[in-house]
Amino acid sequence: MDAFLRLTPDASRKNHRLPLPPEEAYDLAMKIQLSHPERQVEIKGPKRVRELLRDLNLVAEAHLVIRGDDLVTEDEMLKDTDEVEVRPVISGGSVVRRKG
Amino acid sequence: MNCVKCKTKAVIGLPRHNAAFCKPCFNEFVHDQVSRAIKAERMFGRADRILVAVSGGKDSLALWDVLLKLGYHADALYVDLGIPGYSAKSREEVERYADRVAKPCHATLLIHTVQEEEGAGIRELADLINRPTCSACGTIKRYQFNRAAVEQDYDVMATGHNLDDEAARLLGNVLHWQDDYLDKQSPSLPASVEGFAKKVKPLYRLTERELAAYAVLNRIDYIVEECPMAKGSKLLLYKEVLNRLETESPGTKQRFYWGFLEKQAKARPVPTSMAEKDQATLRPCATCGQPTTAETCSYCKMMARAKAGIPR
Ligand code: SF4
Ligand SMILES: [Zn+2]
Ligand SMILES: [Zn+2]
Repeated sequence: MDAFLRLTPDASRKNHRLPLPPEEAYDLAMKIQLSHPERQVEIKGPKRVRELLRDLNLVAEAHLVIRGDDLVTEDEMLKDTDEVEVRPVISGGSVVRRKG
Repeated sequence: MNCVKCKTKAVIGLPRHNAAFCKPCFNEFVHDQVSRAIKAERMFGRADRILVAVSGGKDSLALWDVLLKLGYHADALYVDLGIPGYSAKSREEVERYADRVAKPCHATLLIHTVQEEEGAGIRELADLINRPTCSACGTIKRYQFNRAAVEQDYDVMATGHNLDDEAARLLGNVLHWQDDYLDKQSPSLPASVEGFAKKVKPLYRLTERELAAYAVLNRIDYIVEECPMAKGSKLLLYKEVLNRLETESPGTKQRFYWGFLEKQAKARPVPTSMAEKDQATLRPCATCGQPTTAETCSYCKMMARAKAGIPR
């Protein structure tokens, strides 16, 4: 199983009986587009860009976070409804931060 | 995070400058860094004709864009290497930019197609002569860029090397104490060094992240996945290490590379002595007439070997 999927909430909570407004629905999570290899993961928000990169073990200096056509700064809060791209800026490869 | 200049919402933070900028102020910052580089290293003037080496990546397209925006006379040369899955796409990005932005500025895109001119794609050529692809590629690119610059009367050739490229190369050269190479790490090499056209690196004050941001903010499409041959290169490892240091301690890369440049400038006026040394040993290649230190230049030698290997 993809390690990142563990960051999304337990699927059983989808069956919550009370109707919820869309942004707060439990099965909603932000969609993150990654490269090297190209893939999409979902991560439960809200979360600051800085923390998102940390969770993904990515070095800030080697990445840009893009939402729509815009860049988002590291202190910005991402919501579950957001779709963002984490783009490596280093020619030819991504930089993965070692754990610990 | 707000722009340090105009206090509106910032689009990018720059820890190494302890700053953050909105889009217009960031563009101004980038243009200013390039202008400073041009001036500090006496790269070229308003009247000079510049040939930019473009690859379809963010750095070279951003460089072409900045030079045009600053009002310089800058054409570009793209070398189509014929690498499956990479060359067609990168060429598309270059041509798109040329049509959309460069042409309206009266700038020209020159294209050299290796498959047509040299008879095979770079990978096949490298196989034929039993050399690593990147080394054959380096020989062809150096030669073709220089030939275009000299034959078409460009005053200077500009490449998209950025602070990360130069700091990583410096780290590699220092780790292996490659003293000879240290001399050639200046962002401005005079015309006679190596017998080539004057070569400059106007982006040496900007990081890869800043250049990618410039491309994204100014809607310059570029090829994110660069040449597949670069995978696993030592340079990438050095960049990775430097970026870890940079994230923990902003300013590391610039202190390392700019500090080296300052020390070098104080230690000895290298370019002149090197230029003299080069001029003394250079002569025209017996086959093509381009300057070389040997009887035949390395490009002609390589092509002769490749031709001998190509079945007729
Ligand atoms: S990675 Fe190698 S083959 Fe690809 S463009 Fe660079 S030098 Fe040429
Ligand atoms: Zn501003
Ligand atoms: Zn020759």
